[in-house]
Amino acid sequence: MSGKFKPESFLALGKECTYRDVRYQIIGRICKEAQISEWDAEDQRYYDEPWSSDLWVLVGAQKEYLYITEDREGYAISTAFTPSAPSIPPEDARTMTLETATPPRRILERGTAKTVYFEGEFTWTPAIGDIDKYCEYDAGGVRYSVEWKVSPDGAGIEEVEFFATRPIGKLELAELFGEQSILDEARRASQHKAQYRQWSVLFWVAGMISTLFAVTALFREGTLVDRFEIEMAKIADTGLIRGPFQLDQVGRVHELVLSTSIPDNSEAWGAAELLNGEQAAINALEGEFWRESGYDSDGHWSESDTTHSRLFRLDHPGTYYVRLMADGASAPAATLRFELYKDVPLARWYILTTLLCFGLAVAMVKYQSTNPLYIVAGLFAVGYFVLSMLADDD
Amino acid sequence: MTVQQYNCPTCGAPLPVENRFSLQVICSYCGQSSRITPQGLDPSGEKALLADFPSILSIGATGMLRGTPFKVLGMLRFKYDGGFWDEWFLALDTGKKLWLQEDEGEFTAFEKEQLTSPVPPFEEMQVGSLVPVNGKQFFIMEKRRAVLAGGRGELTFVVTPHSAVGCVDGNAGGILMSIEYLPDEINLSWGAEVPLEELQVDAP
Repeated sequence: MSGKFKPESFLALGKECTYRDVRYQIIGRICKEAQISEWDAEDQRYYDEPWSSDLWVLVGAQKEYLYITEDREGYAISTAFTPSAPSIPPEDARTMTLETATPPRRILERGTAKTVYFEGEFTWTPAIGDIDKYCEYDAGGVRYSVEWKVSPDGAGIEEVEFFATRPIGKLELAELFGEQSILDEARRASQHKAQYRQWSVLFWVAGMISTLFAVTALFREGTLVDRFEIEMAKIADTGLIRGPFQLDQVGRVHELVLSTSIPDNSEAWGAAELLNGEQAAINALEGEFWRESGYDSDGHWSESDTTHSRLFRLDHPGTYYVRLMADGASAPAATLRFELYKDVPLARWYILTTLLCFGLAVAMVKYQSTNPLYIVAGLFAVGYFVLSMLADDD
Repeated sequence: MTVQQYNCPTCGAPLPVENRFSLQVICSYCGQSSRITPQGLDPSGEKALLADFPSILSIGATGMLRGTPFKVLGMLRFKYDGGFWDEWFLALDTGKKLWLQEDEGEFTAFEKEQLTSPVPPFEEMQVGSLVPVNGKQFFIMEKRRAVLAGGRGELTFVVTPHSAVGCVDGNAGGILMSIEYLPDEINLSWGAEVPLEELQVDAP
C-alpha cells in the first residue's frame, strides 16, 4: 500500500462493528480527492477548496451496505435512500430538495471527487480515475445528497445514487467497533479534562474573589486615625507634634498622607515623622509640593504635586506621635494637611493574585493541562491572596 | 400448491414445478433450461450453469415477505460490466407473483405493469433525466446493458440464456421503477425497497 493512502484512523479492512443491531464488516476502502465548493453561512458565499476523504464500505451479515466517510472534519455514516423527488440540481443552483415534503434547502456542498486509490472487495468495479459528482443539503441534521458517476468520456452520467448521511463522533464510532483502547484513552482524557476543569474553575473563582477585593481596596482608604490641617507658616522650625495615637495593630498597613493647598506658581516643603512613645523618629515622609500653571501655544496648562504618602507597618503596638515640619517660605498662604490611617487595604496584591489566577485558569483550559507547576503556582497565588487579606503586608 | 414433478432431461435431477403457469424450468444442477410442454420437458434451451454466490434466498426457499408467506420458484441472473444482479421469482400465499431483485445485497420487490404509452428507446434514455412513463415522471438513476447469464427453477416465460438485455432503473416520486428492454418486448416494473427486517427466510 502506498504510504500516501494509508488509513489515518483505527478503521481497517476486516474490522467489524454493530450499527442499529446489525453486524457489519469493513470490506473495502476508496480514497477520493475532490474539489469542493462549500457554503459559508457567515460570509454568505461558497468557498472552493481541495478535499480528500476515505470511503469505507461495510457489508452486513445479510449483505446490507453501510458507508463510513472519513475526512479531516471527522466521520459520517451514510446509507442509500429512495427520495420522493429525485433530481440532479443544475450547476448554478443554490437550493435543492430530494423530498416533496421538504422545501428547497441551501446547497451546502457540491463537488467533484476522483478515485485515487482503493483496496478490499467491492460489489462493483471501482477504478482509479473514476469521477463522482455530488450535491448535498441539510434537513433536520441529516445531510441528503445526490451523487452521480460521470462516464469515463465525461459526456454523460453512468449512475445516480442518493444518500442520507449523519455525522458521527470518533468515540461513538469506536464504541460501534468495540475499540476498547480508544475508549480507554478517551476516558483518561475525559478524567484529565475534568481535573483541569476543576482546577481551572477553582482559579476562576479565586480570581473573581480577588478582583472583588482589589476593586474594594482601590476605593477604600482605611480607617482614619487623625486628620489635621494647618497653615505652613504656623509650623515652628522644630516642628509640630500631633498625638498621642494608640496604634495596636502590628503587621497591618498604616498610611501617612501629607497634602497641601498651595497657591499657583509656588512651592513648599513638608514632612511628617512617625515617633514612638519616646518620641524617637522611626519613620518619615517628606516631599516637595508645588503648583505651576501658564499659557503656551496649546492654551492654559497646569501641573502640580500636592500629595505625598507613605505606607508603613508597626513592629510593636503602643503610643505613637507624628511630628509635622514645613518650609512654606515661598508660599505663605499654603496649608499642610496631615492624615493618618490604619487598616489600609492594598489593591496591588489582590490585582497580582487576580492576574495570576486568571492567567492560570486560561492556561489550563488552553493547554488542557494539569501541570503540577500550574497547580503549585495557582495555590501559591491563592495562598498569597489569603495572606494579603490577613496581613495587607507592604 | 400442486407440485408437478419432472426430472432434468440432461442430468436427471429432480425438477419440481409448482406454478401451473410456468413455461420454462432451469435445472439448478446442470443449468439446462427446458420448456415445459404437455409431453414433458423439452431440453431445447441453452445450458448455463451459474456460480453459487451467497444469498439468503435459494430455489424452494420459503419465508415471509412483509408478513406474507412466499416460496421461491425461480431465479434469473443478469451480468453487466460492473457485476451482476439476481432476480428471484416468488409465489406469494395470496396467489400473487412478484420479482425480488437482489443487487449488492439490497432487495427490491417488483411487480410488472403494462406499459400504457410508448417509452423512448434504450439508446435515448439519459441517466439523470426525467422521462414520462405511464403518466409519471421517471427519474433515470442507472442504465446498463446486461446479459442474461442464466437462471434456476421455473419461470412463467421463456428466456434464452446469454441474450442481451437493456435495463433502465429509476425512481418516480419515491417509487422505484425498472424498464427492461428485451429483444422482443419492453417490460415495466414498479417496486419498492425491501428492508431486511421485512424479509424473513426460513431455515433450510
